[in-house]
Amino acid sequence: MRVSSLSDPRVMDLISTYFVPVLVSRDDYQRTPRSEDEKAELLRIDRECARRGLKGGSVCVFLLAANGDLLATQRVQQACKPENLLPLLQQLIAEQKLRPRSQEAIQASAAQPAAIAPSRDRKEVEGPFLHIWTRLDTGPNYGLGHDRVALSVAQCQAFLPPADAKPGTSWNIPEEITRPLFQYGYPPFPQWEAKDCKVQKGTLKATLAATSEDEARIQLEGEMLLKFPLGRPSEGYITARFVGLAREDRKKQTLTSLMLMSEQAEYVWYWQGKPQLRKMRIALELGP
Amino acid sequence: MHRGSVLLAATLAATMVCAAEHNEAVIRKQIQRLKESEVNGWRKVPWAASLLAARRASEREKRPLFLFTYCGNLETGRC
Repeated sequence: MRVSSLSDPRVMDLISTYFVPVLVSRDDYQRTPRSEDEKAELLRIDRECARRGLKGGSVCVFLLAANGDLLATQRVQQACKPENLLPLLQQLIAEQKLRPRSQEAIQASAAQPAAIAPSRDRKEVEGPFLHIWTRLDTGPNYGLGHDRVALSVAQCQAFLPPADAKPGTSWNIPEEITRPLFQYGYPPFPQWEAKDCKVQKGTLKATLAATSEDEARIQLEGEMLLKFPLGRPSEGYITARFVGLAREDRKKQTLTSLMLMSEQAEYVWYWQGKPQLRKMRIALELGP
Repeated sequence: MHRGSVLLAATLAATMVCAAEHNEAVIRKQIQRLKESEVNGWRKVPWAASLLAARRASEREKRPLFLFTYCGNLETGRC
């Protein structure tokens, strides 16, 4: 829906111009939980939908009148296609003789763009953060997965070379460091929870490439095997090989840069016992 | 012989640095390309901050509300 109807210029124009648009996550995944009043309002809408025999569900478009009455619904299976959602919106606009919203009204109700919330799977809320992007390059477009995970001091330190290391010195990043990071290397799918992922292999070898008085440059290479089922009981696995670089501020002995990019990444899942392969890309980068 | 070894070591070190720098530019570009592949038109829609805020605006403006409910997190693509 995010990469189809909600990003279709015609749909965007209609819902921005004639409606008060709002998005609601039903489970607040990786977000601050909603208020009890908000939950009650959503429950009221769901109950009215059921009472009137309209098609509802967890992932659904609801069109409400100004007094809160339910006017129409469309499930995601239909609404994700602009050719289904557009006529519904156009019909309502025509029936209600709606006029475009004023810029003042739009600005008054629009939220400030929120920063991406760090995963609530982790307790740390202080940075630095590691951003993890994943994308499927074949098959239907599910857009980009983007997680932002706080790095602990121990995780940062593991990428830094020993004080007396010479260029060419190598060391392994322990798997207890890499596993919580590679856990987010799963594709953006309707099954989205990181807790469903199990890292079965997460190796990362660091090699000191060059040093100066101020900076050390570290080359990274590694492999990942991640178990991620696409619906149960099917099995799914992501395999990836990574190359990357890190930089250390020698004086402060801090990690200043970290980048990892998959060279070969694939998601394999099974349909009726037959493997289904999809190419993907995974990137990890230190950032704000 | 000694001078030759020093020269060889210096050449090897320079090659490693060049390779690292080359890799950095390539990797940075690949990551940037991946980030830019995001379809983010939906972010330009003036979404209300919450369902209750949208209901208030809808009542105030006397116009209908477009509500999309989902599971997961739309902002991170985990949905």
